[in-house]
Amino acid sequence: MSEQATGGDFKKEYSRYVWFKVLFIVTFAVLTFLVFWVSLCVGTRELSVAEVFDYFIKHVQGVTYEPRTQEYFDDKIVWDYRVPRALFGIIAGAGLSIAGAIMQSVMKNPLADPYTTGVSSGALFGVAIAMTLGFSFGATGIAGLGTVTNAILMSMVPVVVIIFFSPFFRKSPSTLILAGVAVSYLFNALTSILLVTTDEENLATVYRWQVGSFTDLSWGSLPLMTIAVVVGIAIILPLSNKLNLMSLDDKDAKSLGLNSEKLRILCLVILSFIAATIVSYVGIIGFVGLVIPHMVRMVIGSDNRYLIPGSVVLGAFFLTACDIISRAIDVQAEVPVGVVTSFIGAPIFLYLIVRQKSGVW
Amino acid sequence: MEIRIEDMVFSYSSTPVLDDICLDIKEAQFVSILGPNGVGKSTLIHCINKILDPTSGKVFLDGKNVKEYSLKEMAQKVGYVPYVSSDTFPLSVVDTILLGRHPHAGWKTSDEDLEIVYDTMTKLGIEDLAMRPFNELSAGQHQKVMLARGLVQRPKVLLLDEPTSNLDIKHQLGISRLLKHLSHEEGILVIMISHDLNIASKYSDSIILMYEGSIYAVGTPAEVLTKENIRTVYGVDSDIIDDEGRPHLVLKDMECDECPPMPEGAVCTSNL
Repeated sequence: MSEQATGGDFKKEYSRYVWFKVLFIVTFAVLTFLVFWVSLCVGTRELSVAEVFDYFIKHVQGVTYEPRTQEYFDDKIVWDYRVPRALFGIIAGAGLSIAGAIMQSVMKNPLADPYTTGVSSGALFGVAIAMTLGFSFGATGIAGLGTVTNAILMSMVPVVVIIFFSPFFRKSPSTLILAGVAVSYLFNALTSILLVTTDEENLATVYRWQVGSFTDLSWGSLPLMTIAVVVGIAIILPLSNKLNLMSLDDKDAKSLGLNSEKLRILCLVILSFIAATIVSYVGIIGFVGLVIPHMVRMVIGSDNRYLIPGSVVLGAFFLTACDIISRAIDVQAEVPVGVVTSFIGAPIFLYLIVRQKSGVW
Repeated sequence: MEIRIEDMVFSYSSTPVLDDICLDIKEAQFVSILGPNGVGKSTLIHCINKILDPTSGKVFLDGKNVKEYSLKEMAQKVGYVPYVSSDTFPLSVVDTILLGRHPHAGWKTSDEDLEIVYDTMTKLGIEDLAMRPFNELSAGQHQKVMLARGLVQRPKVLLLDEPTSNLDIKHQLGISRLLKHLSHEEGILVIMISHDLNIASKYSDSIILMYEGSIYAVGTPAEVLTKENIRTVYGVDSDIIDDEGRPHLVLKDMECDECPPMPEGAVCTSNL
């Protein structure tokens, strides 16, 4: 800005700066929409985008087919397998990255995400209990309601520990993280004990689930997670300007009219719900929660009002794209999507860090 | 706007920090709080704007106990400019300053907010930094941004923790002049913690001198900044010179008179 700049120029510059952020969000929202259709085309049965679109629209209109015809099977493949899977990728991607973004802002720590703070380890342990010991509050099996309940309950343990002990930690965010890491180790150890003592079949199931796989998804996997993610976003978005204050000192935030402690607890509970439901259906998909928010920060900055929606759309796009790649590599073997996210995301992220001249955080 | 503190005591767990503080500040003016490190200056101002709750005693703002203010009401009346601000996830300078509008504004940044921010940046001469990331600024620029954040709160009382400590002499004078202007022209009660006795003396209307967790002396600079007070409170000897009716301190260091002389051949040159 030149020295003669007037308030008008300043406002224009500021609105350009905001528009760039909005553009980023809209671009990735559109890309996510496109990648959704691509996702419906990939698989053993080769279908073109036009065909897939046709089947999709007709199904929505309620067209049914003669059983055992080609159309009947194609419709089934598209509607019963590929659509829920693609939707799952979008919602889980959005959920994981929003959970990561919130966690980082709330904890004022770039390393925070549901995996580094014990929430996911808790959920993992809950699932392991359900699968190896058959002990749960409801039906067991992958994606059974009992398994999900177990995951949510166990993921709440680190949160409760964090909240309950926080007065003793003087509420410093870094001690909260340390507490999370400690709880996380504890849960991992407990999970290992369960896995060591279980039989081979269970071990294989838990293992495959642990690395993050989209293989067994169906329409039934969607509702609970969708509710958690959508409700979570609906609560967090209006609070995102307050999240900006949370990255200040708690004292500063208080002097600007915000009680950080209360908001921190609310955010932790919300993101545990989101993370736990996702983890209980698809296991541990590393990288998305930690790194997607950082990628968004590098491009559009750390203003939570844009960071949160930005993370939602980039996370949704990224996870769906990774799922497509995992199927494109080998449809039969299906490389777990968690492996693909790490393989693709890590180099991109390293490149961004190296290219970044000044620190972002 | 007036502040009244009655028999206030503050302790961190069992360590007493402030003991029996009584204070009455009336009308808009420029007040400096002076005193050695760890004497409880920051604790005192934190008790005024509810960041800390006094262990006992009462703090009144405009005749109303601060306990009865919500955090948001408090933030609309009292601005606070901290000594340092963390920047884990730095925002741009504009967005950082806009945080100061939080007590008044909603989710969306209004045109009015932007105007207030722009005016404040111009006043402080930092409008050219507007789009820069906060973490790329110098310490002095940081301090100005934080001051701007406190000013856009449009407070009736402005509390500052060493607002000029990182500034060069020209800007120290500039900011102090601005604070005085705010208190005299715009009716804001400005309370500043400072370690620069001469700046405080030159610009303040009143000085609060603290010693061992209580208030040692209150009054005009000439009343408070005396040789005896400085010796008792800081343990430092000084000469007081009259500078247009205000005391100016010249510090003495008796121990250094016994310092060994400069080693021979110690010179500092430049080939410029």
